[in-house]
Amino acid sequence: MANPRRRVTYEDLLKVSDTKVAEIIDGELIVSPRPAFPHAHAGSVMSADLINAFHRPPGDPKGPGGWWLLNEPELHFGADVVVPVVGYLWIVDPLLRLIEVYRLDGNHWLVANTFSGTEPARIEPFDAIELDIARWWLDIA
Amino acid sequence: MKPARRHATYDDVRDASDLVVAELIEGDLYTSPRPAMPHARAASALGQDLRSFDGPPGDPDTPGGWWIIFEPELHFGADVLVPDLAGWRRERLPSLPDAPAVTLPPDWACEILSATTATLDRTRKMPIYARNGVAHLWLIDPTARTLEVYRLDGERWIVASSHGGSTNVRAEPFAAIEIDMRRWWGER
Repeated sequence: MANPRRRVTYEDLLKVSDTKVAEIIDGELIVSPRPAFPHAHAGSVMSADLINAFHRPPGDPKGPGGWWLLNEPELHFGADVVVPVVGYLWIVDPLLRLIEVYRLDGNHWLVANTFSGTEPARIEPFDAIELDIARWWLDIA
Repeated sequence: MKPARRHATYDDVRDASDLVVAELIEGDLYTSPRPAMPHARAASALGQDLRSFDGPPGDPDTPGGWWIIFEPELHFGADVLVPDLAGWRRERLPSLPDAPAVTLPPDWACEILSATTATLDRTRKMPIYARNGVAHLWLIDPTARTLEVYRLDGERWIVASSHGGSTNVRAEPFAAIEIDMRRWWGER
């Protein structure tokens, strides 16, 4: 990851190639390659599972609903530009087949739960349904 | 990582080969290979970095007040865990027991992550450390070059701080000194 040591601006971010993901974290420009297959697969299947159940108006009979869910939204927090979310944070490692769930507690992250393997799981804040996490992992023989 | 045996007992830990680290977690026997070089280097360098804490309290020149031990065998009820390093405040453990294992939970434990042990460390060992009141836990990933510092809050882990790359860090409970993480990664 390239992280030059001067405070960068949004103009610098706009110059990054469309084939990369660019973020500004504490004034540093962080440029990441587009995700490899295990990452893209986990992200795609996970978002399909969650969007199908939760990206609906509240009270929709087809799912618990009540959320807007977006893939890779660009978020601006003051001068920082980062790409994931707040309140809850999931770190999903498709190679280790590991899901770490953090919940915001005051201004600290608290480890709410950790899941691994292929057993169906109920994961905050989407614990209204059981998620078949085995579908998220790509079988690489 | 799959257990080597389910419904195991301490006899299985004793019978395990000396070439592996044997642990017993909720009745499952896990046997991990001896650490590879990046893992061993990180643990060795960290042990040296914490040298000034490993001594009696009250020395004006060093922070002191801790026992820092490599790969101690910890007994929490029927569970047997072996962290890469652990530390006890000497006010809680005035002298080291002359025994193969310790039942008093440490005040600090450190796990060096590898691809084979990271899931075990995060999903099974972290909750056991929390239940037994270990106040601080460090997870060091020599591949990602990160340090995660967790502090116990009740029976939950909160992220106290996280650090990455080739920098100096101050991290609780050893924030009295600055540590050069480059030594952990074998860069110096």
